[in-house]
Amino acid sequence: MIDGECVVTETLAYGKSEERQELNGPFSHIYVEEKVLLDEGYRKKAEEIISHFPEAVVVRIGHYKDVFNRHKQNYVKQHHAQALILAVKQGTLVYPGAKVCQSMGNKHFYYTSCMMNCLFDCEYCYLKGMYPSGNMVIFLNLKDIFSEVEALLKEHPVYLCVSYDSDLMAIEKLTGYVREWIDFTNRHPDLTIEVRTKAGNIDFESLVEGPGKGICCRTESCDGLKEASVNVNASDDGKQESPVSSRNIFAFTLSPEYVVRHYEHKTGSLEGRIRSVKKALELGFTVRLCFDPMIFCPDWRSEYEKMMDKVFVEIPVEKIFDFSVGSFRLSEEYLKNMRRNMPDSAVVQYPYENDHGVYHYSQKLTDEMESWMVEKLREKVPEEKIFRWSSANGQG
Amino acid sequence: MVFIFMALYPEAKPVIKRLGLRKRTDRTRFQEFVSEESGIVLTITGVGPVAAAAAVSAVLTEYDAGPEDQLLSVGTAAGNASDIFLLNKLLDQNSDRTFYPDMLIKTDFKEAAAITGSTVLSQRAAAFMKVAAEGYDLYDMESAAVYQAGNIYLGPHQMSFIRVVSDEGVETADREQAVSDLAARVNAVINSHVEEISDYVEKLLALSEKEKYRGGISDKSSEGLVDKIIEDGHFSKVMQDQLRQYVKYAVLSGVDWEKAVQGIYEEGMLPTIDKRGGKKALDRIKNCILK
Repeated sequence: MIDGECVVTETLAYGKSEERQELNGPFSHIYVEEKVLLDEGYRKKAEEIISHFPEAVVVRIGHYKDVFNRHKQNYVKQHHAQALILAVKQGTLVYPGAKVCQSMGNKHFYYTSCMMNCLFDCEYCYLKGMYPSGNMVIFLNLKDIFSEVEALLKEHPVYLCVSYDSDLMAIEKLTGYVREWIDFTNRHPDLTIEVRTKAGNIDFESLVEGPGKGICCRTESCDGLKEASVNVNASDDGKQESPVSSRNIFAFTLSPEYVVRHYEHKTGSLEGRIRSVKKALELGFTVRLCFDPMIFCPDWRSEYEKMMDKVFVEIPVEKIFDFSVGSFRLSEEYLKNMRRNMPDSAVVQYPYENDHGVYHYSQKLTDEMESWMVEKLREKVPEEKIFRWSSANGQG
Repeated sequence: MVFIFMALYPEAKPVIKRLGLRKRTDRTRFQEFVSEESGIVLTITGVGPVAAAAAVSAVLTEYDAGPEDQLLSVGTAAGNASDIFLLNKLLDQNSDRTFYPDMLIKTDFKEAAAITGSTVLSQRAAAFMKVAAEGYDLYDMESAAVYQAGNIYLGPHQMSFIRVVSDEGVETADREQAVSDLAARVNAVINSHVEEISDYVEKLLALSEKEKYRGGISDKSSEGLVDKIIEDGHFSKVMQDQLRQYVKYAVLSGVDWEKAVQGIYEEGMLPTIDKRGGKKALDRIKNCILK
């Protein structure tokens, strides 16, 4: 089944077109930094990942940038036969959130990239314009990122997006990183993480099983997602127990079937994503629904209407933590790169308007699409739960 | 177009024959063999990194190489295993820089890493290499240079390197003699793998064709009408670019924009007497396409 599930081997089998049959499959080549090979811990983790691909050719490299930052690469071509690079990240590991990203009202908004690039292949994705390469990098020094987050936590609470320049859930079976982040978050009461994904049919049980799981009890919701981290067996305060911390936010990007089918290749179907949302809610995860980016398509109203009908029927929206709404927007530089590499993509070649270096739909269409969605949500959820991206302040 | 670069004519001879290439008689600096029907240019570069880089640069400039083109470097190399290899890592011995061609095409070739040096590998140096150059399987005299020169024009996804092992290093007391001896041997070595090389060239040709189609899919068919609108509407450069982008999007998303334009002509909105009228027509076209 090809539904963007977290079963990485199934997802990797995607690709039926004639061209793809002539090309190597994803991860047929794995480049490994020397630093990884020299450290026992990193080497063990690398071997574990490589073991999923017994046919892969492993190439030893000096530094990941020797492969990732080469001159004149073509993101699109490379993504069709994506190589994997295993590396150790150096320098700054946690960054303040970008202005074009929604902070969802969080003051100390940061993001980190334990991976670069994505297994999924959304045509409109900014990564295609931002990165010089379509190959995927997995950084194996997650512990160093944890240390940097702990240093920040000494200063103030942290709201951290851990799956921005990638989709960690897409290759969770390979890395186990989401589970590690959940464990880490459970141990740090001032940390809230957001895991954004377009995966479907996520195996949430595997994220909370095992000795490392954090058992938390929810004490309140919304404002900062505070809860007491207690052992479930020792809990006797009478409140509803949840097997996971509510500070782990799963943010599902939902798109109409038309958009998924035409532009969000390899991702989970709308049905699959909705199933995942329901499962996440069942297990007590905090869930955010992102209708962002909204993508214009012929008869967009009817496509989004169909999607929202499904959402309202299938998902108990009163249990959703919050909602994010925004339409497609992209920096001029990124779109220029994407238009050069994707001359046959309608979503990339759409005649967007350029406003101070940011391309977006016309103001009229932006307002129409976003207002429509906000109105639709208002029918079922309180307004304070809806965050609409605004270009004026760069956040919701 | 597929550009093939080989160091020696004896190496290239079996490939030229197999691909049915003909010599270009109007070229004197480098020998070029071409097949205009299939879009192949095979160039004899001469031995060594400088000669290879010069030839690659000259040919890719001459043919104005671009996104739909592919480069293939074919040759012989020193190594321990007598076989044909696709190179995934190239070390320039002189600069100590390493290059990685993309490995996108599915093949049955074994893969290898190669060192490119400026001199014929002596047996003594080969013995040293076995100990000192861990992780490298082959030694040649062109591949890293071809990559560097080719990368000025093409990306790593457009360059492939095939090497057939011909020896384990030679005695170099008489360099001329060594090269001459090698030349005699390489013909047979390449000939024994000419089918595999030819199959790989076919794959490159198919990729090149697809890329050509992909690049032209969106607006080629509409060029005549676009030019007419630009002329009839007295479009400025900015308006021309906007129209092209609208049309590109319309073609890709299946919007029948030509019918809309026909209506605009029937209403008498086009042709116009000035740019102002053209702007109104452009807005109308935009609204028809993006409605």
